[in-house]
Amino acid sequence: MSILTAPRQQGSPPREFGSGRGANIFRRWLPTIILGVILGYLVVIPLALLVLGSFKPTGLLFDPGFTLRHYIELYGNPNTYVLLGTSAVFAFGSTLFALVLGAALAWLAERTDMPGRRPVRFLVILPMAMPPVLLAIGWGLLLSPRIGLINTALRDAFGIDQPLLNIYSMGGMIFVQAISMVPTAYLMLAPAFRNMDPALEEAALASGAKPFRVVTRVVLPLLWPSLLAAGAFILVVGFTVFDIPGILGMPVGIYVLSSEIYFQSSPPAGLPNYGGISALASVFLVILFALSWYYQRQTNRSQRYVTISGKASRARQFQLGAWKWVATGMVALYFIVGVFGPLIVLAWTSLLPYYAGFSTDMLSRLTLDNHVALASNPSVLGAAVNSIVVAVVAATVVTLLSAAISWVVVRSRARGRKVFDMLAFLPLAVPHTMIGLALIFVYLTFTAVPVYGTIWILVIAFVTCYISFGTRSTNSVLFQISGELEESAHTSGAGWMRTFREITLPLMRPALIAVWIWVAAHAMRELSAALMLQGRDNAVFPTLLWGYWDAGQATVAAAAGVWLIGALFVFVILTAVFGRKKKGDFR
Amino acid sequence: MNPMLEIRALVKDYIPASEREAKAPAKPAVDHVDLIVERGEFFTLLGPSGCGKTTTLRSVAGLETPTSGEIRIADAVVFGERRVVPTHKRDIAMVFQSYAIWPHMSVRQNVAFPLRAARLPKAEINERVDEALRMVHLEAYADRPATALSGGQQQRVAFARAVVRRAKLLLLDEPLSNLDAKLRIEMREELRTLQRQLGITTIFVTHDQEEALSLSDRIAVMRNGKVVEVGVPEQLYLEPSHSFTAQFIGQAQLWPVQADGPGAARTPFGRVEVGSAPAGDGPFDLFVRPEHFQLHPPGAVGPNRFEGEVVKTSFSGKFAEIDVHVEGIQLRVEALAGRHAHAGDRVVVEFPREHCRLVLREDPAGLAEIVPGVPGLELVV
Repeated sequence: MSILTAPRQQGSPPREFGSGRGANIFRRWLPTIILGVILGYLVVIPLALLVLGSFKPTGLLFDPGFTLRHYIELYGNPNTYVLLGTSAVFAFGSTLFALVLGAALAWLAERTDMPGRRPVRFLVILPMAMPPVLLAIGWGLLLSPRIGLINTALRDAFGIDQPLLNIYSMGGMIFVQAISMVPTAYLMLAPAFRNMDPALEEAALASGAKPFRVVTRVVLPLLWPSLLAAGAFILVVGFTVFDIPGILGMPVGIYVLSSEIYFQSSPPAGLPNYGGISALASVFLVILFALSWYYQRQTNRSQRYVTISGKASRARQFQLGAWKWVATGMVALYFIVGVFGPLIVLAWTSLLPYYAGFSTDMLSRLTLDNHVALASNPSVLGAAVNSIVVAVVAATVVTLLSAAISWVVVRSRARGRKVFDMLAFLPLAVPHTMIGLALIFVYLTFTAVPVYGTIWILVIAFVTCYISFGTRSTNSVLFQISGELEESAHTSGAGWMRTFREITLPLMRPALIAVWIWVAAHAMRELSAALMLQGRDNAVFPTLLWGYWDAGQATVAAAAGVWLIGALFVFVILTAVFGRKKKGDFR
Repeated sequence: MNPMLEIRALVKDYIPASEREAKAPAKPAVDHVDLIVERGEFFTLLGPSGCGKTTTLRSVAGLETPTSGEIRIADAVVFGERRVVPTHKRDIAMVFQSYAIWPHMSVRQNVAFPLRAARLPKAEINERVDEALRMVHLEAYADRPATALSGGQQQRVAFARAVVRRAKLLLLDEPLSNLDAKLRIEMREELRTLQRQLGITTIFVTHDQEEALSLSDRIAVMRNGKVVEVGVPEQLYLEPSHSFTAQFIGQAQLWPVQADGPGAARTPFGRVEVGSAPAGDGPFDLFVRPEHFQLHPPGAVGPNRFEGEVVKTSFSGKFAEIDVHVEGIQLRVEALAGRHAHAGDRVVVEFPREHCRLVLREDPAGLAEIVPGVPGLELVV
């Protein structure tokens, strides 16, 4: 066992921050105060204003009076229940589909002799470079009932009038959302398959159990906590995601929670009904917090399970026989469907003067006009610069803040550290359109902070959106670093600052780099919060892309999409390079 | 000269992990500990796990904040009613059980860290690091990554890093317990030599009585957060005052007895004359080490001699272990090999007066806790 992962000694409980008493009481409360202010500002105030707004007649905080009118209207309106039902169908449907695909992929790659399983383990992170909004646009181009490439091809081949497949439907939304969550499902389930102690299966086989019984009685129960944790997480995403329902559902009138919030916040005429929106948002918040609480409980449980077998025994490999080529074919199909199909259609479309299907005629008309138009448009350059600035600043803030929060939560004995841990986790359960909405409330209320309509409100929104991911990563790495490494710095005469700078931060560095890259990549592709907070001067690349698509300029949107994917691929490859354990690394 | 370390009435309350546990009566981890360590001493805190020895050491280091009491290092109060000196401002150095070598630094960087923290000039840092590495025979490894070293070498780095500061007080928290048996004995001797050479006052925490006996100038035996007894190794082994000390250090046999005048006791075997008894009223146990019994042929009567029957013998090279039934009580005699007895033989067992001691009896419930952990221990009540 390496030094870094040495278990905490029985005699080393968390240390108090400083060792103060009496006059030092201020120092002891300092981390509590600082983090309380930051997390209060980022998480508590927006959500509290959102909830408070639902009890105000106008929805605005400083207007007089209190009312339950918004809730009465909400519950009296049958559309509310339709919306609840639609959101649930979308979330549960896509979760189930993604779990089945992710588990199958994990099992094939980790526990069978499928040819090509090693490249799969690496390739599976590629779809992460594919923002959901572009996945949706790509599939819209492939399967739109009127102009979709596959539909037109099928129509020509079979001479059918009716479109065969329509991506602008609940089924289509579930399909695309599931495809986009498969890498997440895989990454959450693969360790469970990998670490499962083969002795447990062998023991069952040796006791005379048939293979099917081994799967139902031994393998599934062992996987159950990981499946539940992954399921709860994907379900939360399904309830909060905007991009896919926004692109594929809104045009045909299928609304889920996040798109409903967006739709109501930008009505065709007049002021938005902020009171009604926040009442709706508050109802969903309760559901989502319950879900994420369940998720956190499950992850704790599944980690306990996985640690049962820390042995280096290789898991039993299942012989697929003749089926192995079928399996490879299915996996290849997933990559075509999930990545290359939408990517190729986007690239193709971006080179067309107007939207059309694949044909030899069009080959001669391919043009770089769309790309040239983008490159010569000064507002595109501005959006690109904004995207980069926002991504870099948000990623840096999230990384440093996560390190600080985790240190207080994991290492110190500061008051309220458990509350901080919870507060940092909560934003996971809040749809990003809702975070955007909440920030509108905050900065319409406190106009003294002039960030509304600037890129800085985006930075604030993105930090709130991604602080839960950041703190989960930094928490787990701090748990792995023995506290004695910091204590020995103190007994060597180093004060708190020097210890944090020269011992704690360097030891956390690999995790911090991974967090930074992940947040930067996600901030660059984040559409929903940016769209909610869109103002005059804060266009970013995804909102620009959305604007082109919304205005019917599919070819220009595709060109912008190709650029965005190119930038994101760089990030994903960086993640792969930095995220992998290096030889001789101390982790 | 004043002592290097003074601990007065130190209390550390157990901090409950959850609200549910908070309702149960909390037992202090350290319960009114008083200790004085003289300059240059090698002082050991010895006891079973959970006895409070590590908590005491960590309180001296400032890694724990005690509930009450006072700690002085070289006359300066580092913990008291109105004053808590943070760890990095105490004149100490510490070696941890896990060594706590920083994996992102080379050997040299590890050892130089305390001197850089003290903002010494570069030339002096280099000089002192070289000296420290020479002392632990690691000069050839200075530029290796610290993780590329074996366990024993990492241990030496940890030791060099601790002594390079030239702190007044060296704290060692079970530093040898992660090494294999052979290396442990080697390092034990090296540690002792270095400590003598440097003359640094050392507090050593261990649960290994052999380590404690061979290294220490003085030992404090701890149990349940309290100091049971303090003394030099020979005294604790040969003349313990408490039954806990007698059992925890070496093998011991104890029988509940009643004092019968100043120099004798009424025992289950009969009247036994004893060499000495501790002050106090008891209750007392009679304590004899197995190697101190004498065996005689049947009929060799006299004071402190009782006849019995050999029930079992086992030969282990240097010694023979002979179990004898006397008055229905089994006792173990350890004799130098060669003077064989066989099962069924009648023998006379002599309790030599100078090796018979009355020790203060611990409550039986307390003893039961530790009995399973100590091999060869027999408790007859």
